[in-house]
Amino acid sequence: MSAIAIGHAEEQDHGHAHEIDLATYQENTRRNRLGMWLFFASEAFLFLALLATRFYLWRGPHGEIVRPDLGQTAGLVVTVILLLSSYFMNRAEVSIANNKRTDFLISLLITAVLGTAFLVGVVVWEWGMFPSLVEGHIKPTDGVFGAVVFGMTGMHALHVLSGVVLILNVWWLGRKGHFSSERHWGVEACAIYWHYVDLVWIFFYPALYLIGETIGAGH
Amino acid sequence: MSEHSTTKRRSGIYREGVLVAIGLTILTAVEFYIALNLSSFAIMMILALLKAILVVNYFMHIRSLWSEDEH
Amino acid sequence: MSLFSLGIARGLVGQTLGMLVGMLLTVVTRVLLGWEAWAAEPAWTVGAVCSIIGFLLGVGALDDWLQWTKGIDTPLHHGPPADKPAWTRYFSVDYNHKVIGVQYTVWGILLLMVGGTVAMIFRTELAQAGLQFLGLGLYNSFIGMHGMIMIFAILLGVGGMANYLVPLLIGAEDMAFPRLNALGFWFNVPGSLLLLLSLFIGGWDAGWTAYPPLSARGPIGYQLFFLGVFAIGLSSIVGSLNLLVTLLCMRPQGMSLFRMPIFCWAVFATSLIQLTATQLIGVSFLMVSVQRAIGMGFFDPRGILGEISPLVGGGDPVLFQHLFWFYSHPAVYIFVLPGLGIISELLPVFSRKPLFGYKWIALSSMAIAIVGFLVWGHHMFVSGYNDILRVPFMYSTLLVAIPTGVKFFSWLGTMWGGKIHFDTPMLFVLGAISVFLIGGLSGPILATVPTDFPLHDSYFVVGHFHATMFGGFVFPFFAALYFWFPKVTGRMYNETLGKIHFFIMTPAFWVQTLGQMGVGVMGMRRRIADYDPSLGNYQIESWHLAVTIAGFAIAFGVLLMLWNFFQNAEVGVAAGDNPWRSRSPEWQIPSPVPEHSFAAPLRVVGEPYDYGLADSGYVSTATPGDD
Ligand code: HEM
Ligand SMILES: [Cu+2]
Repeated sequence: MSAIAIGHAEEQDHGHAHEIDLATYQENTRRNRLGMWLFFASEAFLFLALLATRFYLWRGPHGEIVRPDLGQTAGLVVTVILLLSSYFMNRAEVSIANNKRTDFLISLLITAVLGTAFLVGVVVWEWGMFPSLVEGHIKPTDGVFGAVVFGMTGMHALHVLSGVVLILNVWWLGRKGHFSSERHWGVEACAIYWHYVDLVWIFFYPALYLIGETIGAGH
Repeated sequence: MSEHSTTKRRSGIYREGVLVAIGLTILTAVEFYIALNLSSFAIMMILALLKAILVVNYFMHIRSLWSEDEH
Repeated sequence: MSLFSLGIARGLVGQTLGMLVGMLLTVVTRVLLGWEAWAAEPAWTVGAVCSIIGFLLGVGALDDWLQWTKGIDTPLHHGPPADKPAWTRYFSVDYNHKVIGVQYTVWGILLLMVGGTVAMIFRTELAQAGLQFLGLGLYNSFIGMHGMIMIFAILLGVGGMANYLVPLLIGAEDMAFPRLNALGFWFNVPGSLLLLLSLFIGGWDAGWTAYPPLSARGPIGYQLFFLGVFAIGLSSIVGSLNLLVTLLCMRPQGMSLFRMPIFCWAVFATSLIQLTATQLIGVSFLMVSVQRAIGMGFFDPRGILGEISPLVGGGDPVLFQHLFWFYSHPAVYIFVLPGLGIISELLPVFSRKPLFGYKWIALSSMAIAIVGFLVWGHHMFVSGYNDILRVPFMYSTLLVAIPTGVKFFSWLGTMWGGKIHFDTPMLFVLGAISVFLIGGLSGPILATVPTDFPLHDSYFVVGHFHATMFGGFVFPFFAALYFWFPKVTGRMYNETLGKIHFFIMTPAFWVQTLGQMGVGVMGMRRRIADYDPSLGNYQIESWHLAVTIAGFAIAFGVLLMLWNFFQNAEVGVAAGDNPWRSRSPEWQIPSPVPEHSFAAPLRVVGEPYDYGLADSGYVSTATPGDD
């Protein structure tokens, strides 16, 4: 799906291509923007299905909502990292809209670094992919707790990963002098995609870490 | 985009981003604090919705879908 | 010209290479991890994922995007390829919506033939009680295969009609995103090939609905089946996105939403469903897939959560049914809404009368689409879900009858007192209405809880949905093929053969669907290769035989139609620009439609369906000279 996001994001946007006049560019951007939001609407159903799964399956013996005992520090830290990255992504977009190229490029890079930090946090800390670094953690095969934790964080991480790739691509193009204050649909697409990924986490974080009584050891 | 609106944007808009980020941080802290003390599905979802509204409105400027001069 | 100048040939090579690379990757990873090198399921699964990417790279559907990531500009190429014969564009990536529409349609018809062949095989088996030549496993693979191939075929047919017609109907030069449009089509090819391939590595025996726990345990074929569905699903999503943007942003001046040709409304409603609901079948199959692959126990029913330990069990197969039907019920409206739109589109042309209740038809499509999201539980009356859910789902389902009824009345109102011309397309429209009526009337019987209990999973359901899908898709699709054939090719089909096709297929289909319902009431279960000949007072065997014969007659009719088209596409009688005297924009321009469709922007000067009103037009396609 990420391939589509990337592809779609740049549909008819060539950054430096000044052959088409500004009015056409803006008309195309309006279409692209609508397409992008429709794509978000589509993806919303994917993430809603995962949320529904979580609240359907994580039920205690009397039907009450439960959750596994995941490490609270890890959850909070990665959440804050993602939130910060969203701020810098917004800063990047505002910068290019005001033709502040250095600011634009630096903010993008910070966003990508924070995004990567989020991924590392999830993979190393939450998934325990490297048991030598973090003590053995919940596994995908651990009943529905394992299945849903890995299903939700996995699907989200996939989107974060594609977002980071997209940001780096935009950063690289920006360094080569693409994008201007008037023509930067590529940046906007990348930005709203990144915020969308953040938006998903806004709902996933409480669903995974905060709502319901804990039962049993996640660790 | 007229010259006028560009200047207006330049002075104000970084501040908006900072304010939104601060708002999101506060809401996250509140969320975390509440979860430690009482666990309520409804409160959690309301807080998440508030955060979502901030992101969709300011960061993703959803209004640009229907209004012209919005970024 | 070498074979590899055809995109599809390169795509197939890419798919094969992708498959091999994926398998190799799996083997290498496993060796590195110190596991046994070869494991069939992971190897085929990873291979299949890579094979889809391989195909897309090979065919060239991703070329422009790859250029853009490097910041290289790629202007949109128009017209047939410069250095190759013009027909090759149909076998390669092409950005013209008319080419893509034909590609969708032809690929859809091919799948229709494959799916039909499979059906003929197991219908032959069923003509007699006892097992003749199909094993139980193969029989089950075949019915699932028939179902899923036909669903693919329908989605492709819908895509074909929508892609070809929508830009023409709204006077746009092309779709909003031509590259995405091409990508959307090319997903289908590797997807359907994977589906077919799955038959050769064990098949999958749970029917098209693939319920776990059975699907979580069956042969490897399931993984390829799932991946095939993902590919088609991606095609649905990007295709519907494209259509929505096209419809919202590219209408000409003066064409308000309520002045669009009615088919556009049908496509709009369909696209809303496709855009959103498709994710749900994807996610439900993905969950089964990962349960098989790495043991994530979403649907593993062993144990109650927290009873033994919080880390064991807790899965629930009923959840799968919820997720699955949240797509698959709305999906039935994806199949039929465009077809119903075709009926509404053609009736005024052949009745020479305005469409009765335009606004109501337009809004009923939207109503069906929206209410369609609230009724999925009618497939689960006997699943063991919470009893209190049954009644609301029963009533919400019966509610759908209202907007559907609106359409029926509007069709009758349109024909009432009209000067009806019984050309082949019109015949198929009438056939569609009669068949859809049978299907529609059998629906509420299933939607009522007490009557569904004995009928669920019986052949009555099979009869029900064949009637709805033939009435809502197959008959209107054929009507559309006959109707727009002169526009696409510039030639007329043979009217006599068309009529013969109709008069063979329609009665045969009545026999088939009523026969299926009949054996269902006698006690014939779905998805069982054999039956007790004493059912229905020893009548059941002759009923089954009748259904089989009817099936073969339908197949013969379809072949007749294809032969008719094949014969006349190049050498038939020239059809002229507007043989049906239609008011619709696409008939005001030459046949076949020129590369850029409209020489000048369309101007809307009247209502779309004011047939019989003197001196009124819908659109004016002023040539540049006039202005
Ligand atoms: C619009 C055209 C329709 C189509 C294309 C359609 C299609 C289908 C299909 C494909 C199935 C079988 C799914 C399976 O494999 O198990 C089905 C079952 C069912 N349909 Fe329809 N249907 C349509 C209209 C209706 C209507 C109008 C109603 C009720 C008012 C209805 C009620 C049902 C019910 C209750 C079942 C479940 C039967 C069972 O499995 O026990 N359908 N339909
Ligand atoms: Cu249904």
